[in-house]
Amino acid sequence: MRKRNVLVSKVLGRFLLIAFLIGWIGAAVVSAETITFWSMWGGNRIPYMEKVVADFEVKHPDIQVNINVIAIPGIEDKILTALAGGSPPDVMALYTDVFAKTADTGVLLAIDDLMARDDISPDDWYPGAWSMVTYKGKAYGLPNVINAVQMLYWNKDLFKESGLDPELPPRTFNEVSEMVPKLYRTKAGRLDVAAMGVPGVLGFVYCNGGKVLSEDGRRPLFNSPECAEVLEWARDIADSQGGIEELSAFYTQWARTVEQYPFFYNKVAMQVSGVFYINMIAENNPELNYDVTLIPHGPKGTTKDLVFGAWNWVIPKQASHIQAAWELVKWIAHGKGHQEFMKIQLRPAMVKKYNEPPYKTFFEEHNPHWGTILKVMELGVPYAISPITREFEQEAFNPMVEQVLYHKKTVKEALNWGEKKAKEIIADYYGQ
Amino acid sequence: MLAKVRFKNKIRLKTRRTVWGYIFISPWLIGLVAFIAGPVIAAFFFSFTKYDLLSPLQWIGLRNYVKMFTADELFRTALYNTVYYVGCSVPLSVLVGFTLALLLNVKINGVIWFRTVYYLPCVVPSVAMCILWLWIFSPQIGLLNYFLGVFDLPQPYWLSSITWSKPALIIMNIWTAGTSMIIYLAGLQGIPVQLYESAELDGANWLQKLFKITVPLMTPFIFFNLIMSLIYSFQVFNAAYIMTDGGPLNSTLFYVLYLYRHGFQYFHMGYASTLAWFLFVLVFGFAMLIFKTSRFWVYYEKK
Repeated sequence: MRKRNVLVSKVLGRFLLIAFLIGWIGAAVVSAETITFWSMWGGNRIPYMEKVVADFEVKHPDIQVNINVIAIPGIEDKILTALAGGSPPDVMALYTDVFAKTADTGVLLAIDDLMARDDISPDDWYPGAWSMVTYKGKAYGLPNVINAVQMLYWNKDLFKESGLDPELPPRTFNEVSEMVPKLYRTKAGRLDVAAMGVPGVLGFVYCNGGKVLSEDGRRPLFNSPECAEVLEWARDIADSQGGIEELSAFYTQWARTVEQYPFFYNKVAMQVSGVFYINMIAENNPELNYDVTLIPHGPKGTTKDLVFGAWNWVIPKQASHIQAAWELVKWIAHGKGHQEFMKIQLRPAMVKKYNEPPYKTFFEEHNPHWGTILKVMELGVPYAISPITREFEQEAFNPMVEQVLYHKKTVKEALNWGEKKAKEIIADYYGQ
Repeated sequence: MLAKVRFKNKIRLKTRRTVWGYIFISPWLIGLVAFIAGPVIAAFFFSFTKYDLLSPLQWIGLRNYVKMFTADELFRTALYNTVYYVGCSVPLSVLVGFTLALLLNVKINGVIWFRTVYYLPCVVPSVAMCILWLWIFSPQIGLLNYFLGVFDLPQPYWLSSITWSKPALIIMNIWTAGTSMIIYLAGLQGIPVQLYESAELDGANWLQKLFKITVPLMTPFIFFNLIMSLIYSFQVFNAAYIMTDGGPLNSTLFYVLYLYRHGFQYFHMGYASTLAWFLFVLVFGFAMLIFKTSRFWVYYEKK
């Protein structure tokens, strides 16, 4: 009995050892190079990106992609931790402010040589999109998507009910100011239908012939008559609808969730938003009677589309599989992956050729606003690629705007305060 | 000779026990050093540097501290907002928790269900609570303004108002007074009934019993909750981060949110460490003050 047990143990032990060795050797021989990929595309974009990655793996059977979706709120924590800890993913998405900061500290791979080797030209992208991946003359990634293509969406039914021509949206600040009092409605003393939310002052300064920061981010330029006009206009829009607190409360009640944007439900007459809005309207309320046009401009300027931020695909220098990572980046930023990913969302590609024939036909058939979208893409102007933009906006520019909206300071006082604060931030960072 | 041997054996036994004691608590000790003591000491060092975690640090001496005290307007704003929050939130949560405990110490049918209901807010995850209260505070369709309207009272803009944003977050914090209520309840149930019986025999009314028996004997529990509430309130973060992002107009820019921005959004780890150490000293100072003054108002039964 004992001899039999010993024999069984020996046989079992040897069997397990052989099985282990086969598995280990087999894994070493067969395994593809696995790269980690941090994508920030969430919600209904997850399956789209998974499909793009799956197609990449079919085309590159020697590369496997381990995709992780990282939620945008708090993404900087994870990126900073990963970079500082020396274990970043091979490919990740970085937003402009973090992009500039990390490029400044030298943790990102400059890809100019790789682009030259693979015959990829910066001219393949729209200038606005390309400008967001360069820092101090070098490219540190490829464009993913830009926070731009801002358009004015207007509700034709609400226009008609208010006695306005539903086919004639406003084209200037003055026209907006004239329409707002006619468009908003109250119920039991509270705002029930908003004419328009508070305009994003940052972008509209450029539509009035002004600038906010120099392109290197080292000089504040917003203490100007152009910016003053935009601030007064924004304040007047809020005041004519019951004040900033009433307007803010109105938007807050929609709980700031994607599915509850009031414009989808005939509660806002005019909305400035990006091209992604078209897809969201189609999903939430396809019956909405609306159209899109260029955003209004001020008396001192023409419509511009400020590229105030962008998500870029980057490869950290510490990435374990640089060549494989570059293949993925090319696919999702320049190749078929990018084209398919943007096409399925009915969004314009960042690469020009995918918005032109023969691809253009699909968009023209499926997106009735394609003509306007392309027009806006051509009006892109770059913002500042600077490590201090986030701090500048949170601690100088946005509080300055709020001081005007909440009537805590006059426009001139707020501009002077904002400029002083901006200069302190810039001096502090650059050690002046 | 025998005594010497016994003494040596005793020392060896004591040493062995000490060593084994340390071995058993070593996982906790290692964790303390690696995750708490180590980072605290490192943060103190970083507070004298310009450091963004990605590039080599630069020693700048006291510049961060000088900037914090003399040139940083938002530091003063964040400190004011936090002290305001602590100054209102802590006394109110102590009062509400104690009052609830008094009410729930009554022996009635179903009291256990009442105690559960009042404790439930404490087990709601923080993020879910914030989303819930975003709706409650909605000026147009929120529950709070609805009830205020029923009684014809003013209906503030709550989180959209510079004036009412902090009171709104204080109200939300008091909703979780169930945590301290449980501790007070335990304390109340430890008070000997004979004391109340004696007081009744001497003709004491409910108010006299409350202030002459209950409150003095509950002071150790009040002291504990006061310290814990103070430490917790100084670190208020979730509500501002999720609900208001410090707005409107920095009215809910609390200290830890400001610290977080410097550390993780602007990558100013050196300055964030400076802010963190100042907060530590401040909270430690307040806690020590309460400890030192406790001998005047905290009564322990042994005395």
